[in-house]
Amino acid sequence: MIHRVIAAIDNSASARPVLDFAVTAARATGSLVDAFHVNEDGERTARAVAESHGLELHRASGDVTEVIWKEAQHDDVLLAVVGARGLPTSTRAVGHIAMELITRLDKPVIVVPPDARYSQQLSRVLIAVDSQRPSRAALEDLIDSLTIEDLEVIVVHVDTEASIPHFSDQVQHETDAYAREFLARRFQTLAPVHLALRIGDTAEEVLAAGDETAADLILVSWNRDLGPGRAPIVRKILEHTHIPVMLTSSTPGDLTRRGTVHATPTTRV
Amino acid sequence: MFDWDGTAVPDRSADGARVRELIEALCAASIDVAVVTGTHVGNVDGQLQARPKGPGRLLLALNRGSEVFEVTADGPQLIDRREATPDEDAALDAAAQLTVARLAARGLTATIVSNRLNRRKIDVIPEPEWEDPPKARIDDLLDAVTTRLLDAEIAGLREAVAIAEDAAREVGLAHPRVTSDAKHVEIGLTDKSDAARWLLHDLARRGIGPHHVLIAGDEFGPLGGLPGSDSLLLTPETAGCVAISVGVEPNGVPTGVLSLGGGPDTFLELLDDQLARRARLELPWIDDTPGWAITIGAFDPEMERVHETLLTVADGVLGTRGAPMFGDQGSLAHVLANGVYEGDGPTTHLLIGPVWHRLQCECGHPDHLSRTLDLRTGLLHESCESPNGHIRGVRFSSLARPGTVLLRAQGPAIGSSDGPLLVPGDGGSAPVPTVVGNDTVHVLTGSPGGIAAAARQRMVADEHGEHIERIGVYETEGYGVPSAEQTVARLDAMQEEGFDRLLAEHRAAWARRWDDADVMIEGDDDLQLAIRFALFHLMASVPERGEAAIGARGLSGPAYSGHVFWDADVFVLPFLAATHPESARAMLEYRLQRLPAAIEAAQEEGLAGARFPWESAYTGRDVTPTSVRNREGVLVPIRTGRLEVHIVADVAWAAAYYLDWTGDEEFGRGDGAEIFVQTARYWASRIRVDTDGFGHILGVVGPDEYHEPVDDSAFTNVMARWNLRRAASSTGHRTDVTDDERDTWLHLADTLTDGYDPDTGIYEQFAGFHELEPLIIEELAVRRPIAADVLLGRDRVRSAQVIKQADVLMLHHLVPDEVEVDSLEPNLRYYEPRTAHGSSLSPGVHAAVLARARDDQRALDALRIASRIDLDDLTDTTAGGLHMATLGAMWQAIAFGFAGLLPTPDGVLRIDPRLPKAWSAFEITTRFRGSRVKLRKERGAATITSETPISISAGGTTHTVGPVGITLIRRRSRWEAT
Repeated sequence: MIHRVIAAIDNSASARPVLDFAVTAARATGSLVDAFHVNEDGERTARAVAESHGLELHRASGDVTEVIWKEAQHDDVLLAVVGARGLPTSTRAVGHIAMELITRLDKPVIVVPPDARYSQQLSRVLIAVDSQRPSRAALEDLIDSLTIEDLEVIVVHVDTEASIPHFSDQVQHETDAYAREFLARRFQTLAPVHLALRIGDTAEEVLAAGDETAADLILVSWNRDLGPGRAPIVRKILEHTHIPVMLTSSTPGDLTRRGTVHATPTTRV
Repeated sequence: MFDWDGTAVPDRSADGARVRELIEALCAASIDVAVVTGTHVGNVDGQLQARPKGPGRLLLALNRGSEVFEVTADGPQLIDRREATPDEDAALDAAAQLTVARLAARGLTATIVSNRLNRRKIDVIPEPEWEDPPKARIDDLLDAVTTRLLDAEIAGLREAVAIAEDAAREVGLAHPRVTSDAKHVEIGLTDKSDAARWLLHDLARRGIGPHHVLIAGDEFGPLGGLPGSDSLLLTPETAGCVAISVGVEPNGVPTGVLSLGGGPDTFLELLDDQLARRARLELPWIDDTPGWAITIGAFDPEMERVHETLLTVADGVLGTRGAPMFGDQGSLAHVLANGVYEGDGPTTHLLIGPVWHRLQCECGHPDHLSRTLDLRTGLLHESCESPNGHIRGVRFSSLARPGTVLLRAQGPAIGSSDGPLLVPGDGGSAPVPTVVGNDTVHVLTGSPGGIAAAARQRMVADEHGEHIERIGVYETEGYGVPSAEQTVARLDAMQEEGFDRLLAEHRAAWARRWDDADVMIEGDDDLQLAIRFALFHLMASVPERGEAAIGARGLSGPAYSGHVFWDADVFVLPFLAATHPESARAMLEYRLQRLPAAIEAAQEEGLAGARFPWESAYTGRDVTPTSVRNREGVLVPIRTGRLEVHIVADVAWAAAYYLDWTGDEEFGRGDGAEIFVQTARYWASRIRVDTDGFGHILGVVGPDEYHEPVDDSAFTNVMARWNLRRAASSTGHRTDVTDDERDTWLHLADTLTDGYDPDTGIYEQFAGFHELEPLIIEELAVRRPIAADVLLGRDRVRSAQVIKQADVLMLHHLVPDEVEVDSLEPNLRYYEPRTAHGSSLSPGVHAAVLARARDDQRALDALRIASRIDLDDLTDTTAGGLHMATLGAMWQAIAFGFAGLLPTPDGVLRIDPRLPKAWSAFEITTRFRGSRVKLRKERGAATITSETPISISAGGTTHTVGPVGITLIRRRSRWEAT
C-alpha cells in the first residue's frame, strides 16, 4: 500500500512550513502528500504554496478538524501535518485546530511551528520518553516507517524528583549500564539510538535537547487527554518549540518483539 | 527407599537375583537405594547379595531403625548404630516381661521370641500353624490373632500394643517405639521412622531432597486398628517423597500414598521403570520448595534481561545467564569466565564466551515460558509450549567440575534440527573453530586470556518424545589461550563420567556448600528467600582454586566490565572466609598475583609499598576511566582511580579477616604477611606528619564519593591506622622488617588524625565536613535511597553534608575495635540522616550497624531494601548483572549485624546475637578455624554448637564449645551460659 501524508494548510504564513514539512515527512516515509484547505479567509496563499510543490490543493468545506479527521480514517493515511499557529507572534500559543487534531486523531499528528527549523533530509529524530511504560510498538512503527538511511534517533529521558533513581554507584560504569538497559527495554529498532538523560522540567529539557542536538523532528507519545498528566507538558512543548513535533498515541499496544536489538546505547549531550 | 519382606521379595526365602540385578543397575546409574527393614544384616544381605560398584549407594537400614550398613563391592559395612545403654537394655527386658505377664493375667499366652538390637519381640500367637506366616496370608493371620485376643477379653491388637506401651513407660522407657506386624508386638528404642529420618538426612547432605525420593512398601494402611509398619516411613522429613504401596492393603492407604498392589512384581517393575527413564534421558526433577526457588513464570520482554541475570547459573569459573534455551527473544545470552578479559586499560572487559544452551526450536507464546532456578542445587528448569507441543529442559554448570555444563531437554521435534551446539554470545565475537578429531572447539582469544569450548549432544527418540542431552566443556585461561586438544580431552572425560554421575556430584557439592553456609530465618519468608538467593550467587560466583577476580557484577552480566573493586575484598570475601575459605583464599591470590603491579604503581607515585588500584582487571594496574559523561550528558572527571586509596587498606583488611576466620598459619606467615608489609609501607610513605606531630593523609576520596578530594578522610585514616598496627603485630617473624620499621608504623599509626571529637563522640568524616552546608537529606528528599547527586547536582552535594553511603559508619562495621567504645550510636545519629544511600552498597552496611546499635526495626528496613535491589531491579541496571557487594552485605547484616559474629586474631569467635521482633528465630552456619559452627537465636536464648571445640566469647566471657554446644541467655545485658 502506498501511504499518504495529509497536510492541513490554511491561508496564513504557516501554510508553507506546514506543507514543506509534510513533503519532507512524505519523502522520509515513501508516501504521497495531499494538501487540504478549508476556505475560511481566502485561498490564494494556500493555492500558491501547494502549486510550489506541484501539488493539487484539495478544497473542502466545513470544520477543518472534521475534514482532516475524516480524511485520516482512510487506511492509507500515515499521519497528518498541521500548523501550531498562524504566525510566530500569534497571541494564542497553540491554535485550536492543532489542539483539536492532536486530541481527536488516533494517528500521528505533526505540529509545525511557523518558524520551524529542520534539515530537509530529516536525519535526526528526538524521542521524548518518560518513566511511564511507553507505547513501544507505536514508536517503533514510526521509526521503522522512516525509511531513511543513517537515521539518527536520540532518546531524551527527563527525570523528575519522583523518578530520580534510587542508586547511582560508580558513574563511570553506571550511566552506561543504565542507558543500555533503558534503550533495550524500549527500542528494538534497527536505527542507531542514543540516550540523553536530563533532570528538571520535562518540557524545557525536551526543548533544550531538541535545540542542542539540532533535531529535525521531536516525537512525543501521549494519551490524547488534555487533563493533568502529560497534557501540560505537550502544550508547553508545542507552545515553545522551533522544531516540528510529532504526537503519537500512548496506548499500551503490542509489545511483541520485532527483531534482535541492534541499538547502539550511548549517552550524549 | 523401600521395605524388604513383602515389597522387594515375597518372603525371606525367595530368590533375590532379580532385585539384586536391578539394584546394582540402579547404583550404576547414580541412583541411591536404601532398604528399610526390621531384620538384621545377615538375613537381608544373605538374600540380596548385591555388590554394587557405585556411584549410587546401597544402604541397608536394619533392625528397625537401629543400624545402617553401606553395601559396596566388598560387602556390607556398618556406618551407624544406635547402641542401647545398659539401663535401656534392662528396661527393654523388663518391659517385655511385664507385658507378657499382663497378657497372661488376661488369659493370653505370649512368649518373648527374641532379644534383637534395641528391641524385644513378643509373639502373641505362638501356635505352630502361625509359625512363619507369608505376607499373602496377612488377613487370615489378623483374624486369628484378633480372635485369640478377644478370647482373652483383649480388644484387639490396639489394646495389646497399649498394654506394651504402658509397660514400657512404667519401667522407665521415655519414648518407647511399640509396633505390631499382627503376629508380634515389638517394644523398641527405634523404629522405621528413625531409619527414614536418617536416610533423608543423609540424602540431603548430598543434595537429594524429598522430591527426588521414591518410598515403596506393602503395609502403609492400618492393620488391626494399628498404623501399618511402613506408615512409619512417612515422617515430616519425607514430606514431598513419592510413596507407593505394592501391598494388599485391605484397609486402604494413608492420604498421599499411591496404592498399586501387585506385590514384589510391581515393585520390580518400578525399579525397571527408573532405569528406563534414565536410559531415555529423562529430565531430573528440580526442587521448587518455597524458600529455595526463584520462578519467572512468563516472558516479559522489558524485564527479560533482568530475569536472565537473576537466573544465572555459575560454578565459580563459568557463569551462564538464564537466557531461554528456546528462542532468542530480546535476551542477553552471555557466558562469562572468571578472570578472562579483553581490551586495554579502562576499556578492559570480560570476554564473552560462546553460548551452549541454545536449542533450535521456538517457544510459541511468551506467556507459556516458565523458568525456575533451584537455589539448593543450582539447576535451572525451563518449559514452554512450542508450535509442536510442550517442551522442557534442565541445565546446570557443575560446581563439582567447574567449566563443565550440562543440559537435558525433551519434547516434540526438539532434537530434529542440525543447529550448532555452541553459538556466539549476544554482542560477543565469533569464535575461531578448531577441529580436533570429530569435535569442533570454539576458541576465543581475549587479551591476554582466552576461552576454548566444545560440546557434544546425543538424542533418544521413543514413544515419550525426543530427549536430548548435551555436555559442554570450557577451558579458560587468564593468560594465554587454552588448548583445543585439552578441551576435547576433558570433554571425553566428562562424557565418560556421564550426566547422571555429574549431576549427583554437582548436587552433593551444593549440599556441602549449603551445609556450611545456610542462613535460616523464621518469620519472614520473603527475606528467607532473598538471603538464600544472595548466598547462592555468592557461592556460585567465586572459584575455589587458582585466583578469583570477582568483578562488581560477578559472572552474571557485562556491567562494570568485570572490573574488581573493593566490593570484592570488603563485601564478598567475608562470606567466603566464613563459609568456604578456599574461595576467599583464591580472591586473595588474585591480589597477591598483582602485588608487583601495585608496588610499581606506588613507585610511580614516589611512594613505597603497594598501591592497589581502585579498579583492577588482569594486569593489576588501574583501569578506572578518567572521565565520563554523566546522566546529564556533562563530561565529568573521574578521580576515584587516582584518589580512592582506601583500597590499599581494604585489601589488607580482607587478608586479616580471612586469617581471623581460618587461622591459616601458612598464609599468615607467608603471603598474608607480605600483604601486610607492603600495604603498611604504602601508608607509612603516604602519611605526612605536621610540625605538631599529627599525621595526615591528604587529597583522597573516601567511600562517600560525593566529596572529592578531601583531606584526612576518617575512613581512610582509621583504616590506614588499623593497617599499620595489624602489620606491626603480624610481621615479627619477617627478617626483612626491622623493629625500627615496625616501631615507625606504630608511631605513625598513633599520630594519624582521625577526626574524633570526644565531646560529641563523632568522627568528622573529613577535615571541614562540619563546616559544609548542613543539608539533612532525610528531610528534604522524597524518599531514600536516592541518588542525591542526581537530585541536587554534583556541586551542591559536594558543598553540603549529604553523603552517598556509609563512610564513617563503615569503620564501625569493619574495624569496630579500632574506633572509640560507644561511638557507634552518636555517629549513627549524626550520619544516617545525612546519608542518601545513593550507593547500592549502603543499605546492607546500615542494616549491620543498626542491628549492632540495637535498632532492630530500622536494621530490618535497611536489610529489606538491600534484599530487593536485584530481585526488584531497584537500580534499573540488574540487567547488566547482580550487585555482588549488596549480596555480600546482606550476609554481613545477618552475620555481623544480628548474630554479632566477629573472629579475633587470637582465635576466638565473638558472638552477640539479637533477634528482631519480626522473627521467631534465626540460624546461621559458618566455618570457624576448620569447624562447622551453628548459631541459633530464639527468643531469649542462643544456642551454639561446633563440630570440633572452639573458643567463643559472649559478653566478654569465653567458653569452649563443641558438638554438644551451649545455650546462652541474656540477663541484664550479660550473656550467661545455662
